[in-house]
Amino acid sequence: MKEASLENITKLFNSEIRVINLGIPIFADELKKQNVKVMSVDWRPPAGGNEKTMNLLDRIRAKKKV
Amino acid sequence: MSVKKILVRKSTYFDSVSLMRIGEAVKKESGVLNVVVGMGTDFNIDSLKRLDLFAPELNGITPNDLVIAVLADNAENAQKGAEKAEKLLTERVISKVSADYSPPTLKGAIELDALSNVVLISVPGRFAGREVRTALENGKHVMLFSDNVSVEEEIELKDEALRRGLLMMGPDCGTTILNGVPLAFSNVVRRGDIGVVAASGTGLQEVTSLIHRFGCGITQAIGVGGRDLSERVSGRMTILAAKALGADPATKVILLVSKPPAPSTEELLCSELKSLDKPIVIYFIGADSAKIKNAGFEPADNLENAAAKACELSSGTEIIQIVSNEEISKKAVKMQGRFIRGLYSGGTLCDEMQRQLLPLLGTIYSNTPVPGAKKLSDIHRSEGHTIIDLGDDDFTRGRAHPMIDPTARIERLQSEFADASAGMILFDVVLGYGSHPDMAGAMSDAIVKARKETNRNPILVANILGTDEDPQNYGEQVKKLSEIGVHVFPSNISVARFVSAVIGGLR
Amino acid sequence: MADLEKANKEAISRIQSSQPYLVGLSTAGETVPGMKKNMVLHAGPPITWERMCGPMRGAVAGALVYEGLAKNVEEAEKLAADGEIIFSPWHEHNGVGPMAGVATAKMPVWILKDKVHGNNTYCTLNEGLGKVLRYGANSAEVLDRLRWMENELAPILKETLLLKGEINLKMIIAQALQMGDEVHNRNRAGTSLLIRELAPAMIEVKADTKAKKKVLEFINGNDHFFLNLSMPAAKAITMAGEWIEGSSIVTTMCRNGTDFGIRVSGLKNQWFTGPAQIVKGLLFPGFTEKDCNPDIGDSAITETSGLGGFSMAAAPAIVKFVGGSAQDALNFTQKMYEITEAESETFQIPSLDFRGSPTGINLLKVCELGLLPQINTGIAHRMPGIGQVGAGLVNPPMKCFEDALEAFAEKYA
Repeated sequence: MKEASLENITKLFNSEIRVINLGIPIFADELKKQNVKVMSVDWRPPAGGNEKTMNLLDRIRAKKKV
Repeated sequence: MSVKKILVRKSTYFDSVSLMRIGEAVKKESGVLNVVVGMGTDFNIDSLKRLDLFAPELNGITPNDLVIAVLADNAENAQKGAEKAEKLLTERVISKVSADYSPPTLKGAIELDALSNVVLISVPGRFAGREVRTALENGKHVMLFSDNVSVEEEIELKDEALRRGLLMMGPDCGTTILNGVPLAFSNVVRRGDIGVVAASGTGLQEVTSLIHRFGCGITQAIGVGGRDLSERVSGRMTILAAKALGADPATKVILLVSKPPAPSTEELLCSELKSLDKPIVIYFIGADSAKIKNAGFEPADNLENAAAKACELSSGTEIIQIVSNEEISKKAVKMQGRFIRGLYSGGTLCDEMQRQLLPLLGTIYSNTPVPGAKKLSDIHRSEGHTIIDLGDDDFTRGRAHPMIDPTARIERLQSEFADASAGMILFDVVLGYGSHPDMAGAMSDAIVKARKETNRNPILVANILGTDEDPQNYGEQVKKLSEIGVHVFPSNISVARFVSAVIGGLR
Repeated sequence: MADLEKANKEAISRIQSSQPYLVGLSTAGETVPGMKKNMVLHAGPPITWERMCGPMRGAVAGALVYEGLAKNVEEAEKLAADGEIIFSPWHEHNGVGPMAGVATAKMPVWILKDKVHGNNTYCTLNEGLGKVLRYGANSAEVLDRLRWMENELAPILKETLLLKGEINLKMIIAQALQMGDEVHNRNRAGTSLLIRELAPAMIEVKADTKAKKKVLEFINGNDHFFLNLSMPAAKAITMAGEWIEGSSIVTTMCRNGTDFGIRVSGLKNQWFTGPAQIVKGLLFPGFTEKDCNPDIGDSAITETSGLGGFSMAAAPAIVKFVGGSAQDALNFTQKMYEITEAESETFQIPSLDFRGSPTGINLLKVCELGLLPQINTGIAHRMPGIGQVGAGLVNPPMKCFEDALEAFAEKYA
């Protein structure tokens, strides 16, 4: 595997941390208490958890770019 | 029997929807049979007639006039209904302003905040991979708190991250501090020049808290997930994170904390890290210090020592043991009841305690036994010396984590109190963001109650993990426990030393 | 094998560039493609007489009497049941109809033209509120009004349009959106702007002043008059994106009071249906849930084109129907961005910082997110002829999208 570039991580170490939170709401609340910019995702399982739908979508996605 | 009450307000305008809502509210009043609250339009006049609410005084009203018409079972209720309508009309509507918009997808959130750089994912494991992929594809670093992600998927995701030069911290990563921002379960730690990488949540919490206590600080504290140093994952994230810290001008010292890596991984790590031109302190819990020293790194014996060594390299001054052996020996008391019981919320602290005490105690039981310790046949019943990790899956299925919710641990505490053979009970109190706001208070109440109920008084020892800047107020937490006779210590190793002092004298 | 990404981009581009204009007025028989003397056009996906709901049956019966095909309502019902009448969805004739949406050959219809893509679309004129044909009323009063519309209203408006020339409906809708309308449940601004366009030309029409006054009063007395123009305009816009190989953009959403039907650009002429849902909202005094007919009408074409419920942020009062706050209206629109491909280049929403309305519903996104398009709509009484009993929010049934997804995967994956 070729050497991974460190550029993006270095950039992170020098940027304002801005978070997107998916899942446990407390994590977002705690960040808000510290005045950290956080956006919460109102997450729900994809395709409403319907496996048949997920499979159809995956089939289509696989063919998306011809 | 029904009575009408009609009110007309001339030349008044309200929008139809607000009026309909007021009508609905008045209809709920006791005794009210029907209501029309509306402007004097043809449509509303028809409604009034249809509902037997029309009255002669309404002849000649115009669409600019407001009509309140209430039909009730008696005069009093009709009057009350009409008054309620008037009241609602004049009341100022305080709109419920909902919280900031939460998009239903990660993609949506990324579009709304292009400057975001970290995605913190804690959705159920089987859905986590997709979300991580989306985040990485959009150039975001990921902290993956979720567990129940397969090794295969972990490797795929970390390879994708490596391709893009992004951090993929996890799965099962509960602690990370980036640019001074504590994420998930983390402490408030001073900025400084020590960079930490850990395949261990509470391990990272303890070393960073102690670095703060020693007067030093951190650049970054990067969790990589408990499995990163396994044979198959082979330290992918650990190596990337360490290299990034190696290239970071603000980081002068690197500290690595983990359970012992798989042998092949350990070799790989050593060769990759050698090229970094900075002092590296390594604490592999239970590992052979000599081997690490030979590889050219600075070994540590325990979490406190790991923090101390890093601080010594950072500050150039010697850091002594927080609580001296002498002090600890002084505190030693006699133990009634033969056995030690350890009730931990932090897995690494549980691990370290087992390893430290095994030589002394000989046999230790646990739900997560280290090499040399034994597995409990029933994790809910202690046997002999028992040191358990209540944060492990077996205990947390369907319940909140013990760092957030003391209930499960308090129940176990009560069982230990009721067991005459339990002579000493150890527990950790982990402070910081994400953790319970007053764990010491909850534990002290439980202890007082248990003493009363069982009339027993085993030795109680607590390690309070945290800093003086954590939201819980460190000093208060110490006080709540020490004032009821709990022996309070600032590090896991000092608790281990205390146990040694009580049992067989401290060396 | 089609390139699916490219197909969607093309569909969106055509939708964005559509320019619907009001260009004239005629009768259905004279101008609607495929119209026949014994044909009854209706809202929603295809449906048989047996399955029609109360309001639609009432409207069909009234229309057959109006058209002269039956002497009275009973005869009309028999005619309809006997198979002598052809029922056809407006959507298959490039048109739309609100509520029951019933139309026969003699009825006057607006003629719109998309000046960029050349499509014509059609819709009847709005009769007003309460006891009207589209709610299933078919009394003498209703038929008299229809005849007045045919014999006086339509000719005057036709003449007015000839004098005025064409009217840019896309611009009117864009302005109305910034004046508190979403052009499905709120059309007051649109109706007002329309009168401004028509009035000066109407003065010059050679007809009795009283007759012209009656026309203006008729329009003025009906806040929803513009709906029958916003709907065919939306139809023109979505039609521009139809039948593009490989595209998963939803180009039709409609209901007939029994079924909800959708069509997808890359699945030409195929209907995907499911049960029409019950609308949740606020009811007029004296009505309860058991009085409500399921979701009905072609007006969901507004949502399909990014207006109506998708532009709820432009008309916050709508959410009061379901006890929400102004912030909820913003949230409803914001959620719709998740299932659409683009933001309208013309329809802007002031409260979202003039962000373009969510345009181009993507079938795949609806399924992936389990997030259904949001519609706000009027509620009809389930008995024919009583009229509107309230308004509120409703969604299509997920079944339509699941079935469409299966067909799409079958064809393209």
